[in-house]
Amino acid sequence: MKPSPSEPAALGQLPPLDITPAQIELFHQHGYLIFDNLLTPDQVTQISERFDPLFNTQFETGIYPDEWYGRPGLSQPNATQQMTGLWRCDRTLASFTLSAKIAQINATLMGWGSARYGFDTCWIKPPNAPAVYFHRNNTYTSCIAPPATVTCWIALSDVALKTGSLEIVPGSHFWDCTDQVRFLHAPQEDYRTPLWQAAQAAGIQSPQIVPIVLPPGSAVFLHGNLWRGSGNNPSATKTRRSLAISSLAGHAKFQLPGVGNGYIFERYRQQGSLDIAESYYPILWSQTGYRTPFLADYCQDALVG
Amino acid sequence: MQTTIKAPLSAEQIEQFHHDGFLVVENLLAPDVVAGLVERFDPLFAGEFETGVYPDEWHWNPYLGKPGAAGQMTGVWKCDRTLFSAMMSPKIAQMAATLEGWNGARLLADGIWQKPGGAKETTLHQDSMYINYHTPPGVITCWIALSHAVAGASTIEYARGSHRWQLSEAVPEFHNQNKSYRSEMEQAARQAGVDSPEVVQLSLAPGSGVFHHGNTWHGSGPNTLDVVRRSMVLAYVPAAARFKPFGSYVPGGYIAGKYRRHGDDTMDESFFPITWREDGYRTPFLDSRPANSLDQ
Repeated sequence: MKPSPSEPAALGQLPPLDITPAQIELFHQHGYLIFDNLLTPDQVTQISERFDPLFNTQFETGIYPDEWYGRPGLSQPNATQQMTGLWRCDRTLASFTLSAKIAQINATLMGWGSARYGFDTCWIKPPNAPAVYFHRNNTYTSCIAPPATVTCWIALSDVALKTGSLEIVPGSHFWDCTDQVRFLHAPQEDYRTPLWQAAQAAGIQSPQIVPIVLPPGSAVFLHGNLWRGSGNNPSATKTRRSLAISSLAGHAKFQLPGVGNGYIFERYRQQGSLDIAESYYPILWSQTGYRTPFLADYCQDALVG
Repeated sequence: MQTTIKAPLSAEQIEQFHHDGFLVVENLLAPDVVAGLVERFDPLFAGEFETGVYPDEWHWNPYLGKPGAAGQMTGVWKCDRTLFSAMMSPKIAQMAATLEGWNGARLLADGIWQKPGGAKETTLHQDSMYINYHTPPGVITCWIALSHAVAGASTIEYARGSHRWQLSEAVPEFHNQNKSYRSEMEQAARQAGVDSPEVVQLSLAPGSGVFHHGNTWHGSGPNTLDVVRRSMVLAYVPAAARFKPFGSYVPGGYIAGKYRRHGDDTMDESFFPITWREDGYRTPFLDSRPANSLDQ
């Protein structure tokens, strides 16, 4: 039976997390935290099976995503496929990307009392897929106050150097530098160029790039200011798949009009208001137990039994 | 600001629209306006958004896109001030409302298309397949050529009178079908008892446009010439439109359905502005932005 919205279990009051204060400290120190076995193999399969229909324009809800790269017929065969706003298109995916559990971990790592949806993105890098520029996710939340996000990046296939691993620079979330919104896919120059520029601005001589190696179902949590990117997928046969679930602070609002870069968020701004409507950016977890009520009718929570 | 334009269309034009399901109106945009719009295409498809806001839909970019494939972008008014200025035209909205007998028009969605030489067909479809979640019902679309639109170069084509056929199930894919781009239209024609539907391929100069009824089957053939066909599309619903009552989401809501707030059937003018109404009302923020180059 589906719990009613008034029952705490439905509202996000979850058991204590399996994250220790020491892990939280590590996250703040390095800007990332590996979390093993966040999803079971069955859950990984359940998610991965939804991608082909989506990229073939078969959306379970009939709603289109917020951002979409790599459309069959219009894109090169080796193009990276990226889709954002999955929760609106497919309720199986929504049951993961809107999960209170992931939002709770995201919020806890950031010290927020609540977390709301920010963006949910799948990344599919087929053999020979091109590189993705180094960037900071917080660059894309600059029209939000606070302009901060945190990402749960889940491997859905083996993620390793031989499949174009996610690369991060530990500690780079502390750097005093700038980033700019740019088209991230298939850069014509070294995909690490923005990183080199940032390191120079921050006075870092030799930034240490660390490839993330994860089995399917394991995750890495990434601070919004951490520099990350990925090289091309050098494999001749293996596709790299991942799902990134990013949260905003539950108390987030829009900046004043004209402040920051609008990206996707600005499309949902209501004239004359700084509020971020929960219909568009629902609150997924709160210390008080609050969770945006319509979610109980929209989808299950795959990670909260 | 009150904007009134008298008698934008004749009674004959209105009658022709209702007879054919579409109506050509020449010289909707001046040549300098067309030139200004065309200049924006390359930056937009390359991801350079003047306002910093991303479009609702963005298919094809020069980095991942297949050379020669069609490009399509929706929700562009939020991204670029030049396009905003043209797309919020009260003149075009008034024509749309007049053809449908509405007291005003609300911009539901915009789009830009580019089809370079070698681009494939765009499957024929009815706009109402995707825009059927509001009341009072109805949608009318204005398709404006921004380059010479001619047969052989992927001009827009219509099944004349097809707005009187029943609304069909949604065509799932515009760009990448493995069957004739007219096959679904032909199936609908047979169901309507029409054995040989008349397909009209229009010839339009840059700046000229065509209005079509939401149920009129339309699409375009392949571009077999060495030219880029560019166009701009504006889809309107009645100014008074609201969402129909739905549960936790708008089934088949395509893009507009994303902007419905839970428990609220308002079509918020922040997302669906009223660009012309006969009493002179116009969504206020439209005129706090740069002046409309069409109506100065």
